[in-house]
Amino acid sequence: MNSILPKGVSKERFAAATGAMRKVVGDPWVILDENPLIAGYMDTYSAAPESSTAASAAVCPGSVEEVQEIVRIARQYRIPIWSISTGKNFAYGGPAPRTAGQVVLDLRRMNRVIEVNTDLGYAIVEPGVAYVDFYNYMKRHKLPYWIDCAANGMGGVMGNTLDHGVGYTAYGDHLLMQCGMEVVLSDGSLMRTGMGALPNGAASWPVYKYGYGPYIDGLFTQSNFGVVTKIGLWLMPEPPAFRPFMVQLQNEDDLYEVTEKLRPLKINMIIPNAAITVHLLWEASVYTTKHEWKTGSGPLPQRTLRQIAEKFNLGMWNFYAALYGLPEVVEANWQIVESTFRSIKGAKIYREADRKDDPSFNYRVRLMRGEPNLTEFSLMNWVGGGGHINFSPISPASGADAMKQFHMIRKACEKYGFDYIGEFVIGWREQHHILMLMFNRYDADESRRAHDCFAQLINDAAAEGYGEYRTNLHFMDQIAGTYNANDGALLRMQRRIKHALDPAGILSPGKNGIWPLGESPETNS
Amino acid sequence: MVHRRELLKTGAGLLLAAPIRIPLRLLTGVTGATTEAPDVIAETGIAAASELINAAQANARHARAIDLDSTIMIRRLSEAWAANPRPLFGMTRSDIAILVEALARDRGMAVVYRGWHDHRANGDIHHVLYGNPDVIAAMQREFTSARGAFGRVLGRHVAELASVGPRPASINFTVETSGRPPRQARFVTWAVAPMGTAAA
Repeated sequence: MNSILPKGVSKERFAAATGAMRKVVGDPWVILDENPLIAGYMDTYSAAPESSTAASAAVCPGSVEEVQEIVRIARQYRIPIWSISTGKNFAYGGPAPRTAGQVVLDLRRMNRVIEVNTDLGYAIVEPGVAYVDFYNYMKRHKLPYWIDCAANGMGGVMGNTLDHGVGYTAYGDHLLMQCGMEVVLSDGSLMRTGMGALPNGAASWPVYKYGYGPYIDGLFTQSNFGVVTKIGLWLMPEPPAFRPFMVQLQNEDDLYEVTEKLRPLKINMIIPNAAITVHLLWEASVYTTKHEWKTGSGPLPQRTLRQIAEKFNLGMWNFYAALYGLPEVVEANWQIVESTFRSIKGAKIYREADRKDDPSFNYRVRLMRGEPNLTEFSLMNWVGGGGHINFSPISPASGADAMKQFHMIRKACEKYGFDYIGEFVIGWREQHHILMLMFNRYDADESRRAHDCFAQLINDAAAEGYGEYRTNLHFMDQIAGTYNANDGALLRMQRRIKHALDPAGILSPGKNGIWPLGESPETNS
Repeated sequence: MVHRRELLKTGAGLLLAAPIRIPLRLLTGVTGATTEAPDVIAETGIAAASELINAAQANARHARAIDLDSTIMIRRLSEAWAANPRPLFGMTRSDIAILVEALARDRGMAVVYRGWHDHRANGDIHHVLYGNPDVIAAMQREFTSARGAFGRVLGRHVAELASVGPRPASINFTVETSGRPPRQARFVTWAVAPMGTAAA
C-alpha cells in the first residue's frame, strides 16, 4: 500500500483512481511509491527536504487521448495531478510536485516533433521533446533552421517555454516565439487556441497568434488552468553569417557601463540575441572548484577572485553576444558594436578565433547558435553536493538597476556565507538577473542558510520594486505574495479563473501560488 | 588519456561526432564486438578513484577511470541505454551524477544508491549513504574499520549497490581518520539500475 497519499484522499479512493489510470496507460506507466522509479520524481537539489514534495505516484500517458482520460479520472476521484513535460528544470524543482502526495502527470512519453514547416519556419512539438531531441531532428532532416535552447540541453522545449524560459539566439524569448497551443482542460475536453479553434484552421494556427477574441495562450503558462499537449514555435532561419564575441571587463563596477552601452544596441536590434553579462565565478566553474581556492565555508575574498580571473583569463564580468544575418550587415553592425564596447576603460574584446581553446567561451558560442550542451552543469562542482536554486529578479535594462541588484544580492549571499554566482540576461528592454545559489545539500546548516538567504532576497528585491520571473517550488507562494498591488487583485483574479476552469482544483494545485478556492499554502503544508 | 578540459575545447554538441581520441564504445559497450562496457566508472582526479577501481576489478567488475566532457558522456550513455539499459556505479563530481540520474529516469532506470563523502578539515570523513538498508548498514561498519580507505569498501559492494533492492533508506555518520583532506573537488558516488535487473 502506498505510504504517501494526496492530502485528504483515502487509501481506497487512491487505489481506485490509480487502478483506473492503469487501465488507460498500462501497468508500467503508473508508478507507485513502492516502485524505485518514484525516486526519479524527487526534487533532489533544493534546500528543502525531499519528503516535502514527494509524489504519491507518477502517471505517464502516451497520447493526448490518454491525457484526457487521466484528467477525467483525476477529476472523478478528486486526485491532484502535477503536470511536467521533461522535469529537467532542476533549479526550480525538477520533476517534483508542489506538495507531498500530488500525482505527477509525466508527459515525457509524448515526445514527437509533429511538424516542421520549412516554408514558414515553424515547428509543432509535444511536451516530451527535449532540446537535444529537437536539435537532432533538425540536423537529421537537414533543415535550414536553428533551434533556440536553454543552457540545459536535456531540458524540455515546451516546459521551458511555458515557464517563460529564455535562450541565447535572436529567438531567445521563447514565449514570444510560441504560436498556437493545444490544451486539455480539467473536464477532459480538448481546446486549441488562436486560429486552431477553426475546424479547418490548422494552416494558420502556428503562424498567427491571436485568432479572434481574447488572446489566451499566456493563461496556460506558469499556471494550472489546463494541461498543454502541443505548442507551435517559430524557428530562426540559419543565418548566412554569425559572429559571436566576448567583452571582458576588468572591474565589477564596469557592469554599469556595459549595461548602459548595451541598451541602445538592444532596443535598435543591432544586437538581436539574448545577450549575457556573466560574473567571474559562473565562468570559472568550468575550470576550477572552490576547494582549490579555499577550505572551509564562507565566500571567497576579492583578492582570490582577482587571482582566479588572472589565472583563467576571465573578466570580473564577461559579456557575450552575437551578430546574425547577411555578411555585409554583420560587418556593418560589428563596427558599431566594437567601437561601443571599446570605449569602456580596460575592456578587452574577443572573437571566436581569439579564444578557440577556451571552454567557457566555446559553450557560450554553442548556445548562441542553438546547439544544446551540458557544460554549464560544471557549476554543480563549484561547491559540490548538487544543491542549487535560482533567484531570478527582473528589472529594466539599466546600469543603475544592474548595480543595485548586484550589490543587494551579493550582500545577502555574503551574509549567509555564499559566493555570488550570477549573470544578467538582457532582452529587448529588460534584464533577467539569475543568481545561482550553490550549496552543499548534504550539510543541513548550509541548506537552511540557503533557504533563508533566498527568502530574504525575495523580500529585499520586492522592497525595491523587483519581482522574480520564475522560481523553485518552495518559494512560489512567497513570490506570488509580493505581486500584491491593489490588495492582491492579480492573485485574486487568477484564483477566480482557476475556480472557473478547474472547479475541482485537480490541476497542479499551488503552481505559482495559484491554489484552488478553499485551499492555501497553510492547508497544504 | 584525454582530459575533460581538452574535450570541452572541441566544442562537441550533443549530436556532433567530435573527434574523440578514446574509444568511447568502452564506456557504453554497444559498438561492434566489444562487450566490455564498464559497470563501474570513476572520474580521474578523485583520490579514492584508484582504490575503488582496483577493488571493483578484484571483485570481477569491469571498472574504468574516465575523464570525459559531460555532454559527450551523456550522449553516449543515452544512446547505449536506449537499446540496452545496464546498471552503472559511479564515483564522479556532482555534474555527472546529476545528469546520469536525470538520464536514468528517461530510460526507465532507478537511482538505487547515492553516497556523499565529505573530507573535513580535521581529517574526519562525513558520509551520507542512501540505498539498500542492509547494504549501507554493512558499509557503515566497514567504512569505520577502513577509516580513510572507503573507496576499497565501495569497490567490494558495487554489485549490491547497483541492484534494485528493498525500499532505500538513508544513514549519515562520521569516520575519524588522521589523514589530511585531499585538495580536490568534492565528489559523490551513485548507482543506477534498470528495474528488476541485478548488476550483471
